[in-house]
Amino acid sequence: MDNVKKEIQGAINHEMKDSKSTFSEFEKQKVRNRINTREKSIKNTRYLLPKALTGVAVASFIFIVGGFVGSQTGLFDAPLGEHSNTQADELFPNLMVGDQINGWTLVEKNRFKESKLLTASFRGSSAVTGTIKYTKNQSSAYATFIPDQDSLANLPIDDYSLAPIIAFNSKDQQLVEKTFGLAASADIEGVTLILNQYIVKHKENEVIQDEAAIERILLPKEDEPIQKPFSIQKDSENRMVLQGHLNSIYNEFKSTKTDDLLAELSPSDVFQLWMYAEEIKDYRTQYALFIDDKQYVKTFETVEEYIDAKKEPNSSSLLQSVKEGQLNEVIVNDGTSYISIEEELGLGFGLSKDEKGIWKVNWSPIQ
Amino acid sequence: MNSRSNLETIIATTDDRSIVIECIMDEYGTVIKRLIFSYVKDWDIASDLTQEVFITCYEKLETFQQKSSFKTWIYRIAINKSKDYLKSWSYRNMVLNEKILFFKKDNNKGPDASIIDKEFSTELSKIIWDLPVKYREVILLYFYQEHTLHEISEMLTLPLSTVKSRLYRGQDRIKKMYLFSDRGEQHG
Repeated sequence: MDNVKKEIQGAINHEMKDSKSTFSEFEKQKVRNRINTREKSIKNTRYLLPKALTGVAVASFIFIVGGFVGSQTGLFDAPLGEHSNTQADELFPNLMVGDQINGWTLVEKNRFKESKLLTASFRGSSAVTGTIKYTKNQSSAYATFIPDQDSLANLPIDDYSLAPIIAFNSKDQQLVEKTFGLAASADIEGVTLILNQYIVKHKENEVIQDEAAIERILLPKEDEPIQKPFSIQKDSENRMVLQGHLNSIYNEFKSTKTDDLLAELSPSDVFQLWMYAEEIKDYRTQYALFIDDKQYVKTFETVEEYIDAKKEPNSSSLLQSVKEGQLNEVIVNDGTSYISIEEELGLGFGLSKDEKGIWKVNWSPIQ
Repeated sequence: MNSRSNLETIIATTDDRSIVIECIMDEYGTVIKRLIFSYVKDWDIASDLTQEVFITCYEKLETFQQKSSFKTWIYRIAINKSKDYLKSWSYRNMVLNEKILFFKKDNNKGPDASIIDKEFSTELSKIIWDLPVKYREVILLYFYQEHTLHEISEMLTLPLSTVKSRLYRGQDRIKKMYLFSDRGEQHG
């Protein structure tokens, strides 16, 4: 028994080593986002209000304590060297502690004598979009952030001519790495960060990175597929029929099998042709509607094999479901679509664009 | 034997579900994803379904009665979601198109295409993944995830005797196929 167990474990463990086998921070963030979205839709404020107040209280507490601890310990400034309380008039000379710029409140200004570093620390909360530049080599890995030009007005800066390079503390570095699953050097554009602390830094004759703290990372929303309801035509005996233009195309395609005839058709049109072929048992035409690009492997290399297979007892419940179900054409992206047949059951019929950009039926259409 | 796990204590004593769900995701994220993969055989689908499991957990947390262990509860949710998926997509696919099933080289499209295209590391793993779900689930829960037969019986809501017989039959199939395919030469 132990041998069997070991062998099975060994075999399965090997399959489970896939890099996708762990539940990543990115996936967790998706769960959080979906939970947040659902929570917002819940109208029961009586239930939510106490929790919200608790959250605000906790957040305020963390903010106050964090700010106090940060300012008392110099934690936020820790890597910067010797701390001096001497006022740095050169940075934001017209701004006093408590004043605001672009929605950020100035917390303190510092000058570090030995390093000739000037800093101005701000607190606030602002969404900034830009590019994460992640650099990894044998000895180190770090992420910096370069805001887009449009986002510069959301930062506590007064010179928009040059976007600052923003560095993060180690905790936020890890957050960025985990969220985007970074394992090698990469640039990730269009990232939106909610920043809640910002330190402007200046050093004479030297380009120096500003520093910020990330409150959270906003992940880009996934594109919603486009859905369009449609229905099929049936005669008095509940047999599927094609009408008008689609019927003409079917008849022409049946005799010529020329894909170009389908060029202007939508996925739902091609779907109807395929289903109509099923209805009249015209399996040669049906076979010709499958996608024929080289990257697809056909189980049935020839139409004869296909027809033989179709002769064997096969359920006709798909056609029946199509006749009875609510049909929706769903365009997932430019090259992928499916026909949702019974939404509740998740029954779908897949189509893809071929090399010529024509919608054809997937070899394994039912999903 | 009624001692609570740390997670069960957190669930019982913490009102804020968002904190609880973080703990649940930390503890069960990967193991649930792998469990679901063992059913659907596609990491992307496993990812989506795992997220669904945690959202369900979040929404139904108040219904967790602590009558069974939390592990059994969340496994049951994951197994049900996996089987629902198989019923709605793969099973229907197989039933309706058993004879006209085609596979696409691009493994992004279908759950089975991806696994069939994939080169398995060993013949044994291929045999295990090709087992019918009812045997595969018991084999993986017992040997890979190392649950007791009693736990598996609760997770699958099956009588203990059924779990035992499926485990036996699953092993028997593996042995026969493994001997036949991998060691056939040695045995002439």
